[in-house]
Amino acid sequence: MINLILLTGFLGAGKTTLLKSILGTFSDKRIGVIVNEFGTINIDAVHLKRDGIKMAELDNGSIFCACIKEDFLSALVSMSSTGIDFLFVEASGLADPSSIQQILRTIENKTISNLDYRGAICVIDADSYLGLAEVFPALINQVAYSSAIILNKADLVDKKRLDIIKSVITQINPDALQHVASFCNVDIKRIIEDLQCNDRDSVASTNTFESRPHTYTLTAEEVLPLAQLKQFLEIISVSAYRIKGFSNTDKGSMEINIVGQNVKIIPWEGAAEGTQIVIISSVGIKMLSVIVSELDCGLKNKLHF
Amino acid sequence: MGKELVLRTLKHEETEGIPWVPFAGIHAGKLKNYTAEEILKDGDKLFESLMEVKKMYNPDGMPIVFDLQIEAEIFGCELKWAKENPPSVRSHPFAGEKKIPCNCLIPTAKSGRIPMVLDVMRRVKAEIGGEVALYGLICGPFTLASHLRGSDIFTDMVKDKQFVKELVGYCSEVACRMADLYLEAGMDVIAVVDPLVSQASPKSIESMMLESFKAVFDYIRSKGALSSFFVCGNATNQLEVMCKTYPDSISVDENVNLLQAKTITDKYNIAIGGNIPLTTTMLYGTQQDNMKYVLDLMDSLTHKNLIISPGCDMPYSTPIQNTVAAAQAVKRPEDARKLIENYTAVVDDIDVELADYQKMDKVLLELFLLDPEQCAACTYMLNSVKDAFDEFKEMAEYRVYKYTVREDIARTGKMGITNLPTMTIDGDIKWVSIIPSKNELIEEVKKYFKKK
Repeated sequence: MINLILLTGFLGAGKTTLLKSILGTFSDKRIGVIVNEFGTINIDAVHLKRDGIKMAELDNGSIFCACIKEDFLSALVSMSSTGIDFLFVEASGLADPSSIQQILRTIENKTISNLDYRGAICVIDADSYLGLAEVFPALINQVAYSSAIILNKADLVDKKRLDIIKSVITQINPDALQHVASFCNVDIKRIIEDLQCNDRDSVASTNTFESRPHTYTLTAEEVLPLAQLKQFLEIISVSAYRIKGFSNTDKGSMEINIVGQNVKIIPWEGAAEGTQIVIISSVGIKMLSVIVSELDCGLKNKLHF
Repeated sequence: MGKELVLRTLKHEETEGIPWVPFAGIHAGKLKNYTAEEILKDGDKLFESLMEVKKMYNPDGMPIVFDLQIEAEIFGCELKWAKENPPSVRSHPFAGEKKIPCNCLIPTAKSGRIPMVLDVMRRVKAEIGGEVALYGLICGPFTLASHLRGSDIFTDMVKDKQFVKELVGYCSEVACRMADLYLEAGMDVIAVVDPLVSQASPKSIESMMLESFKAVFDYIRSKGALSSFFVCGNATNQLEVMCKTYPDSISVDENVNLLQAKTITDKYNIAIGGNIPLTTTMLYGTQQDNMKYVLDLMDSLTHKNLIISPGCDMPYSTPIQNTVAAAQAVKRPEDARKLIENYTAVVDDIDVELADYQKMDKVLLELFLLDPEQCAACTYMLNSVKDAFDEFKEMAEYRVYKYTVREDIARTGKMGITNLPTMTIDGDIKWVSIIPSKNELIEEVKKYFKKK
């Protein structure tokens, strides 16, 4: 029997941070991870690969969207034969898990070990959730179909706002346990032990081709000037939901982690092979023009599509 | 060297001559007695035909394939093939279903006829790529959106502008991927060919398409390549907004006054190409007609940021000597001037009888088209009548005139029609390069019928 747990939450809410914490906490267990990304490059997987866990990467869309659902099912079946104790699925930021039960029923008789779906843990960004949920229906369903909800980045909001968010979450899902945190610093072992599967009826996911944001990947082979890279990323972050990646700069390897206009470019202890940056646009295809225009600030012919 | 002339013009540099870029698409097949269908499906025949274009017409630049249906076919549009025309789209996979296609449908190097096209591109690059600027033509995002959605796209533009914006955005992603493929195969210039742009108001283009088109041209620029924005039909009103997408050049057909157009493109420092009339001059004219037209064009325009080319894809049966004559006029204008001294163009004076509208029991709709098989705007105008016909067949009948038929050319002139496509009702010009909505069309027919 494999304990299957789904991790959901918008881009940059803290899912990967949570997953890293889980891998540390459950280091005595055999763990498998399925990491789902929007773009063609899986940045999150880079964070997790170094821990030597069994991993499957699903790129280029949500696992609940028709176009890669088949790949998701195959990955679940494949993981079921690996002898793991826990399987964590980190869904992409706009994944709508409302069809998860239906999906698991599809592969009931195909898995080697049974997959015991324990439930979903949803990480929400307390600072931005309310605004984003008005734009993306998937975010409502992420909360509705969860068993536990982590109200992360609580240090960025005051008590009044936090109470409003709690109230909204309760209205959407009165049964899920809520945990207030910063940097996903929660007792994850306890949360997982207490997880009880949400029995809400499965419905069709809102993940369709239309709801996929435009995603662009920039790469560079040569070392980039950090100052100009930072300037470039700060400017384009205004037009992006999320930017993440790694870069080989003149100040060493850097990890890029940008959520909205919260820009973090910090030294990365691993070695970055060149530069790979994934940009999830909040302005549609216009982001192409934004990127091209801003590359002229000294990164032209170095950083490219 | 010819290639350099094209590249420098597209980079807006002063040049010592004007580049000549014949759009020998399906006409290339004629040079080797291959049908349009043959050269658009068989790479060896296409390559052979393109080598003949180089030999006969001495181009500074040339397209490899002029077929706006390559992408549409990959998305599942059925094509109707023809011997002397590019294929036309016959079905629209997203008509009646308002959705954005999945990213997994975006063409790759292995999709549809793309492998054949890429192979020919590489072979032509290897053979003549040092001398001739090679153009890779891709279907423009708005035209591709219309291939997918059919005439529903026009309703969408009124009722769901956001959807149109997203669909055109998606089709622009397709355009970027096609540009990648063609650039990797060695193309120097990516031409975004979007005939339907002339059907949309500048306001519609600005609100629903400008961002997407600009993104495509910015993307091409970021790859270190050059671009062109091709449009058919009377795009005079659309030129300014087209310039705001910042292609390196714009190419127009005979419906646009090139002198007037250049005053607009010069403001934006964008090159302009065109616009030898395809039928009256290239197909039915004489060598002298072609020389005179080209010389008059060159004499009337400033030469910086200028490319001389046919207005669009040349008719299949364009006489070789006409194209050679046009080439000569561009390359050796003073020699051409001597050849046409004392020449006066002869106007075709075929007598055609116009309908006596007052005596007819029914209202007469007359459609003056280029070629509904080849011209997207013409196809939609004809379909707008066919789709509504059941609603007014007791009141009206319709006739179609094609500008590839001599008698129809004469009729077009006699009726005072100056742009195609045009629809008239009982002799009154009603719609010029614009597709009427079903309701609009029915209402007008009823109005005219009441007067009978």
